[in-house]
Amino acid sequence: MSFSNYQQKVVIDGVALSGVQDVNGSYGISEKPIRIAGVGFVDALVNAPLEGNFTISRKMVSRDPLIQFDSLGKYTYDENEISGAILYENDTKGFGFTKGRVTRYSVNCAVGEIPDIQTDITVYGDLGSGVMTQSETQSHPPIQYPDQSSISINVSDFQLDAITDFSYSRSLNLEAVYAIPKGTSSDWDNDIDISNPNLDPVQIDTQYPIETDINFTMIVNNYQIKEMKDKIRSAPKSNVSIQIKDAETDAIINAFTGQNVRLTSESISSSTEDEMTISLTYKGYETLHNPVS
Amino acid sequence: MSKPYLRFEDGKISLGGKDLDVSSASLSLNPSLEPERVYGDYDAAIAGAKTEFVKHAAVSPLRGQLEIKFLINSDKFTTNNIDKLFDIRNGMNGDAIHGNIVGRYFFDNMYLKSFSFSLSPYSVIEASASYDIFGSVKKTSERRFNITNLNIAHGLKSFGEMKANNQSADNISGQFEISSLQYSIQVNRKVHYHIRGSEHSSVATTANGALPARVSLENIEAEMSVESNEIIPNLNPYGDYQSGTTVDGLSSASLSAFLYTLQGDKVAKFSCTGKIQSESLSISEGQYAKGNLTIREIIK
Repeated sequence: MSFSNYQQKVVIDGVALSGVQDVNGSYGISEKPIRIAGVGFVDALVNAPLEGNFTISRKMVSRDPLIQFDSLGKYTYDENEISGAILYENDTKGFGFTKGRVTRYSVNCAVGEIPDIQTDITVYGDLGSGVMTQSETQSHPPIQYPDQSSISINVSDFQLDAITDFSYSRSLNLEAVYAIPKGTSSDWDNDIDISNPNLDPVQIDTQYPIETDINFTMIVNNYQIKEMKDKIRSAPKSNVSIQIKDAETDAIINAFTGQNVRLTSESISSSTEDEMTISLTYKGYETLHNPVS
Repeated sequence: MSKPYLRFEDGKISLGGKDLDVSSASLSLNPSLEPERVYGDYDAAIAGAKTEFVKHAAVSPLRGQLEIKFLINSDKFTTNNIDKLFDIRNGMNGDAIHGNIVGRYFFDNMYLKSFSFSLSPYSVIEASASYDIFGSVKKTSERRFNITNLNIAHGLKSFGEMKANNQSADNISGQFEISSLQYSIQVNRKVHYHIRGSEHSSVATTANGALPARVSLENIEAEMSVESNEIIPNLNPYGDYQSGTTVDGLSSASLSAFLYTLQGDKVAKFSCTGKIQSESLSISEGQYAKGNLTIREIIK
């Protein structure tokens, strides 16, 4: 029996996501081949922690339920675990994961398109069939659609020309610390299972800074590319904000900001068939405690 | 086509008549030689005698070393028999291990010098041992053996335990997590030769030369160290954890490693009970704060 797209549901942290285009889940086992003198290869045994990956691609059709902020205004997914599943057959079956951490979050958009959201998750807990097969417990934010007239980008130090496309991404480097199983001599003596097998990492930390990359392409009008060596000498920082609004109500659907980001590359493109365009790339660094100024 | 080089698959390692699951071995023999120089005939040009090289003289009997890395297979080491095979704990004696084969070479008169292993999460546990060899090696035919059931010690189910003054490290430090554990045991031996034993003509009738009349145990020391998230606070000058106001009645610290196979079968238990010899804490860019703690036990 097969399951069509309308029979499936992607639930992350209790919310059934909308606009999902595709979801991919996978895990790989790292094995060490065992070779013995006088015998040769005997077997291959697990030799590293099991970690999985989950990738979700969506169209932005509402406020993103994965984006939440803590009391300090930081993304909650930077430091917190998430769980989820692909559910099918009336939510009775599924392929899910626990102890997932977002490793990359990106939004891409070009004129005439609904913005795409891609979320990459590394799974440190369970991953597979029957894991987290629970229906949604929270309601989804209201459906809202942006169009090209309701998306705007602002850079603090100059006036932008017409934007043809943009991308925004945050990449998180995670470090998971594993410990050996914990037990007692009485567990050994009495042949009982140890209380703490430490199959999951004892700690998962985000390695700061989190790198933010913002790229957009403009049709050339007023903007002129900066002279490279002047740029290196001054190395100014800017604030870049992207606002994606509801095409009907003008209410903000999602907003992304790069604070004190630095212009790291500029490129100009000219061809016989298209208008001349300039592409700007900004890079920013988000810290844990002491913000980059 | 001949195969002058021995393949890994055809070179079994057998110590004391027991086939081991060895992943690498290194056998070396090192005759102790010194050049003998003497004054030659009278040389009128210098109105004296020049020194001249006569021969290399053996200054001590032939010795060698064997170092192996091997897997701890439960089929060969039923619980705690690893101690017996490697003769590493109490009950250790000065008897030599005979009937050893490394690839195409056979030799006797081998003594354990050190044994160690490390335990880390999700990893195959690989042990190391090194031996002193006295005498020479003989050529033998290459041999193979079969493994019907690979059931080796693995970090997935093996566990560790740390105690200080009879209290678990969790009780002392809150949450004590061990990210890796190392065990090693060193044996120092004294080698006795008979006076003038190497001068008898019978010595030179085999390549072995003079062999020790006795190899006695001098001392045995075991050491266990862990890399962890915490170290033991209130470490006193005696290497003990002291939370109270007196040093009286304090117990030694202990570290234990309980080795299991991937299938959950018991393999061996190693413990080290003694004083905390050192502990350190380090923190560096891009890293967690890492504690390191070492306990040494004087067995003999």
